[in-house]
Amino acid sequence: MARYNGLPDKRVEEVLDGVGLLKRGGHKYRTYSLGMKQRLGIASALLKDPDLLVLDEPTNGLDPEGMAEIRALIRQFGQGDRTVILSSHLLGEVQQVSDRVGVMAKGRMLREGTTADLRGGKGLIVRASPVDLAVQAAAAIEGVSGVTNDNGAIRIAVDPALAGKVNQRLVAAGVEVFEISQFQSSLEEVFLQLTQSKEAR
Amino acid sequence: MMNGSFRAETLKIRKRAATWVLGALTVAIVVFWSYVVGYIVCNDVLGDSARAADLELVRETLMVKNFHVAGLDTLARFGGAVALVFGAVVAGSEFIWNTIKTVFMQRPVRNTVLAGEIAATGASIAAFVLASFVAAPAAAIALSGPVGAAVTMPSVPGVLLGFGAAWLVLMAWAASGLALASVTRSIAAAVGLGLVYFLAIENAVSGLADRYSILEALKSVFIGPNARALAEQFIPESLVQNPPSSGPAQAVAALCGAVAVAAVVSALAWRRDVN
Repeated sequence: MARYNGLPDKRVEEVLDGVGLLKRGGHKYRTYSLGMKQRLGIASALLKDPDLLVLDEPTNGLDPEGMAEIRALIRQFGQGDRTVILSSHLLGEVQQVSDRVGVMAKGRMLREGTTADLRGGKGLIVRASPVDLAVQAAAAIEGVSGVTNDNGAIRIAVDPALAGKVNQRLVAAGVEVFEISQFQSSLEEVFLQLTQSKEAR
Repeated sequence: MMNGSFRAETLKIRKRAATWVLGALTVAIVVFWSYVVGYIVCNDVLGDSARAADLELVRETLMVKNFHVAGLDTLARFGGAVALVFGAVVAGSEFIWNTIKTVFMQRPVRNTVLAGEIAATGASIAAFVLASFVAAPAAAIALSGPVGAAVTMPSVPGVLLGFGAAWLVLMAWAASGLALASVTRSIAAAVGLGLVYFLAIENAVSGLADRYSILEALKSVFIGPNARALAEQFIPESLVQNPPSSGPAQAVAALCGAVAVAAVVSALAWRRDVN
């Protein structure tokens, strides 16, 4: 690939070094593991030092170690002026490596924004008894913007740093609190919401 | 870019085991058909006074001074199939392994890559012919004692002309293989179609053309008959048994035309989308 583009052998060594394959550079392709083959593909794409790198399912078929390696490389290559577009159905992976996310369905972009924007605000999930009293008490707490009962799990839209205050107020209202944990919608939840919405159909 | 494509294609060709196998096969065909078979025939007619003319013909063929004639003649008869397979391997491999997509992704344009591929094929064919033209005099020298032939080297211009003619003959076949592989996007289909054409259609039509003059025009553009006609131009006059079916200019034009047509067909086939 370097020769097609008139690039010197030194550039090949640089990109192989960048993906951790310099020592295996002289070995036959068939002796490479799947992860190494993927890294070789990325090295090939980096030969011309592109401003934009498009990766389609780069961790497809890789073992957990290989996936972690590729994710680390993607983060590394995305630093600086280069933009990396990652196309993937593994939303956990997208969540881990992306700054901005776009959700597409049937060829249309449904939503695009930072990962935090798409996942929405953080909050608290409280398991307590009695539930109705807990919902009522939580709604009265200053800083709470919404309370929902999700099959017994009370989702409170509030800054998670206020967990202690929320606990105190609920106990003071006569509520028995079993568990308080932080929540934020995963990309998978956002994706499913968007792709199953009327907008997507 | 063209130079880059040529260097890239040359590297790929060099790394393929098939290249070395086909190159060795080309040399083996020349040595076996020109010299091993020639020696067997020579032994057969030795001492048979009724076949003195045949003995002289075989002995002349085995002489070092005629190694380029013997090499060219054998390559024109049997080298075509090997060159066709080689051309099919060069172009077909890219489609089989889907590497053509990877190449285009880095932006060398299609015609540049194809030109590099054809040039690298030409360079490889030149290496095949060179190896054959090194092995041929070596075999001739080895046989000079047993057959009682003098060791006299041919003229340099004669060898260069023979080399050029052998290259053109094999290149016409290799370019055909390359074009067939580009059209079929496969090695097996290209080799199958090419060999059927080479062994069946050209030979059958050429045979019929001797009886039906309407087929003469078709025969005049075939690669095989023109390759043999070109090789026959190099045979010393004293040894010519049948005059060549076409002159050197027509043979060269037909073979160059075959290379050009194959290049155009390949270029058109490469315009298609790659999946």
